[in-house]
Order: sequence, then C-alpha cells, then structure tokens
Amino acid sequence: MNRELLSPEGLRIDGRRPNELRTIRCKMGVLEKMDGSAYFEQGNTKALASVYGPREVTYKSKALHDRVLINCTYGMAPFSTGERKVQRTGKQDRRETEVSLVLKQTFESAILTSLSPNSQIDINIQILQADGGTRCAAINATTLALIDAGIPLKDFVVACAGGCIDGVPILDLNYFEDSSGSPDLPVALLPQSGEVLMVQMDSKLPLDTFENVLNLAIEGCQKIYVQLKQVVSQVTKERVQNRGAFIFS
Amino acid sequence: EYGGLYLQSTLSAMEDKVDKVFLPGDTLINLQKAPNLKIRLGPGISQQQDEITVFKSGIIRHRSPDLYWIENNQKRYVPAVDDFVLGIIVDKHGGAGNTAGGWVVDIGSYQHASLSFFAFEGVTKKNIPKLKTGNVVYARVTVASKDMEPEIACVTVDGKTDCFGPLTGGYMFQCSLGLSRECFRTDSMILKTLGNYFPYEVAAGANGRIWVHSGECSHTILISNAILNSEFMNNSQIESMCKSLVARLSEK
Repeated sequence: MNRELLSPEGLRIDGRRPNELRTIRCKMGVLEKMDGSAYFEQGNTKALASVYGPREVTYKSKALHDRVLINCTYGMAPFSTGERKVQRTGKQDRRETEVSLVLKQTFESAILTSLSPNSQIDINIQILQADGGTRCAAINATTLALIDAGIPLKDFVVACAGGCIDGVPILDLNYFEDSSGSPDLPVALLPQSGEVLMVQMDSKLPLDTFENVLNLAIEGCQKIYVQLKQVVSQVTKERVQNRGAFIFS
Repeated sequence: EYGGLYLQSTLSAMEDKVDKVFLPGDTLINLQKAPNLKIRLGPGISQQQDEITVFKSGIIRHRSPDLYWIENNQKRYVPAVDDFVLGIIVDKHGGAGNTAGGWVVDIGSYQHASLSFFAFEGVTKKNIPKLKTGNVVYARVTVASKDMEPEIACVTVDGKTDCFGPLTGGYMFQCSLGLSRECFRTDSMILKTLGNYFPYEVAAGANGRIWVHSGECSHTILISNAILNSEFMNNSQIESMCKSLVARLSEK
C-alpha cells in the first residue's frame, strides 16, 4: 500500500518530492466589513480567516483585566469535504471545537495581549475546501488576517505539517496521504526566533524518526514564512507608501 | 570624540530604516550594537529586552529629533491623546446639577469615551450645552490609556472652541484610518479637487470617520462617494474620477 504513496523514483502521488510544499496563494483584506481578513490556499486546501477587534467584550464576566480575550471559531463549510458534511446548525463538531481551542492557545502566545486589556478579539476561520493540512492553513490565514487588522503580534505564526511514508519524512501532506496511515505532525512556530508554539501528532512514531519529521516541518514553516513576508510587504507598500507621511503636530 | 562619531553612526543606522517596510517580529535595531542610542518609541514599536522590535506591519516614520513610529492602515481605531475624533453621543449621565456628569460618546474604540459637561469653552452650571443622543461632535482626545476609558473634550489645549463642538446637518460615514488621516491634511488632493466643483464643509476624525456637509443632498452624496473611492488612487486618477462623477450628476 505504501508503494503507491511514494514511487521508486521518490515522487509522491501528486508528483512532489518528499520535502516539497504545495503551491501557496494568498490575499489580504478580502472582506470589507471585517477589521482584518485573509484568504489562504495551500494546494487544494482553502481557508478564509476574519478578525474583528479589539472590541468591547460581549460577556462582561469573561473580560480579563490585564489582557485581551481571544475568541476563536474554526468551522468547515459543508461543501469543503468530499462528502457533504451535515451538521446541526450553529454547533461545532468535536474536531472543530478541538482545532478552535488549539488555534486560540497558539495565538494567545503570539499576540501582545497586554496592550488592550478589557477587550476582545474575535477570530473566525472557515475552511472552504479541505485537502489535508487544514489547521495549518487556518493558522497561516489567521496570521495574515491579524496583520491586516493591525493587531500587535510578536512575530508571524507559520504552520506546516510533516508526515512519514516508509520511514521517509515528507512535508505538507494532502488528504490522501494523511488518511492512508501516514502520521500527521502539524507544527506552528514564530519564524524569527524559531520558537515552536504548537506541535500535535496523531499516531505513533519512533523517537529518531520523530525528530527528523519535526525538523522537516520546521523547515517547511520557514519556507512558508518567506512567501508570506513577500505578500505582506507588497500589501503594506501599496497601502501606506503611496501616501505621503502623516506628520501630526 | 570617539563617543561623538559612534553616536553619529548609530543615528545614521536608524536613518536608513526610515520609510522602509517592516513586518511584525522584525528587529529595528539591537541595543547592544548601539548602546548610546536614545530614541522615543511611537505606535507599533516596542522594546523586548535588548532589541527594538516592530509588532505591526507598516512603514517606519521619523520626526526629529528622536521619535520613530510605524505608520500602517487599519480599520480599528485605538485612542491616542491629542487625536481629533468624530464621536456620536450615546448616553448622558448625571443631571444638570451634577458637576461630575457628562455624555457617553462612541468614538469607535472598544470602550466608549466620556465627554464632561465642562469640556466646552465658557460653560457654567447654568448653560451646559444641549447635546442629545445621536448628535455628532468633533472633539479632541484628552485621556487615552489601555486601562481606562478614554476622555474627550471640545476645547483646544488653551481652552478655546476652535473647530470643536457639535456638527449639525451633513452626513457622517466610516472609512479606514489611513483615508481619514489623508483627509486631515490641508493639501489633500481629493478635497482640493472636490472643492473646485462645489462649496462644502468637511471634518475628518483620526478614528476613521468623516463628516461632509454641503448645500445640496446630491452634492453631499457625491463628495462622500468620491472620498471613499479615492483611497488608493494617485492624483491623476482622482481628478478623472471626480470629473466623471460630476459629469454624471449634471446629466440629470
């Protein structure tokens, strides 16, 4: 079975090499009404993130006096997966709740939360098409949306998933590779300092293989960081540099 | 002398960073390499131990002698002292006899601002301004900190009314912070171009709100649309856009 995933020449089913990322396309500021929004595509996986805030806390009892409250909702559109996903309206399924919590905890470490106490930031991510690596795409989309909204960040948060076929570490799994038994290791990090914010794993790996897969995933994150930096620099230039400097008196 | 040369080299180290794009997490300068550097950190820049890092994406601006800040374009307003803002009165607390009373004003930040009864020129307990819920006011932010609710006043630092106070008539709309800052400049291309076609009044707030008032309703609508369209246009595009909008208006 594993021979199908990795050919004798070392090519995966979609023709990529083991350490190759899928094509990335992204746009910032796609939703007009939101304070910040971004659309992120990694291969066939498509994520749309929107950010609203810092704003007044909706449930006063949950307000934190010394930092901002982060609410994160991750949802998958019914048309995002191969078979249409029927869900009870308004409720998240268990996986969506788990990913929402993981995202919230990841961004709590990256946003400078002490700069706006007693307020709330709402992050909403919709997966429009799921082909593996959805939580990583969600994290990358959220980083762009937060930058679009001008929310203070320590650094970009970039995420990429690693896996393993026949002992060969592979980067950026698609849905087929993920569901055919390869371990899935999503990793999120702050690229400038190399600090890892999130690592998850859903099956067993021997310890030395684990290290190789983790390092490959970290390398993949740095590659994504280079691409995201380019997009953000371009957008920032368009938005700010075309205007002269505003010197307040 | 050695100290003087060193200081000059570190200042010029900052010079080539001005007007360049910086992204969250980028280090502006490492203090270990420039121990004599004294700079003031404005919005968007913070100090993490030995490094001066940027936490918003934008362009570094500099005002002599030593102030550096990040200029970016976002939609959400965070109050800062001495900003001129457009607020909408939401509530009033304290009656006429209560000296500590005032109005609760929505300025677009996550907490409403308070406008004291006495933050107007020449006001006494007997002649408090008659402002109602829904009125638009142009005010200056006097207190803004992350831990307290912001406070605004309709007087200048010297206590004069100047341009502040309630704005009657007209139409107020929201836009991005960058566009409203652009409209704040006296040499703004879009406002000058529109002024060639109609007489009108405009008030731009640092909080992403602009108020327009002109003689005709149709002119007000045209001016508001033109301002919103002009956000990412250059000067020649602005001129042609205004021309085509005015031509469509006079066709009727």
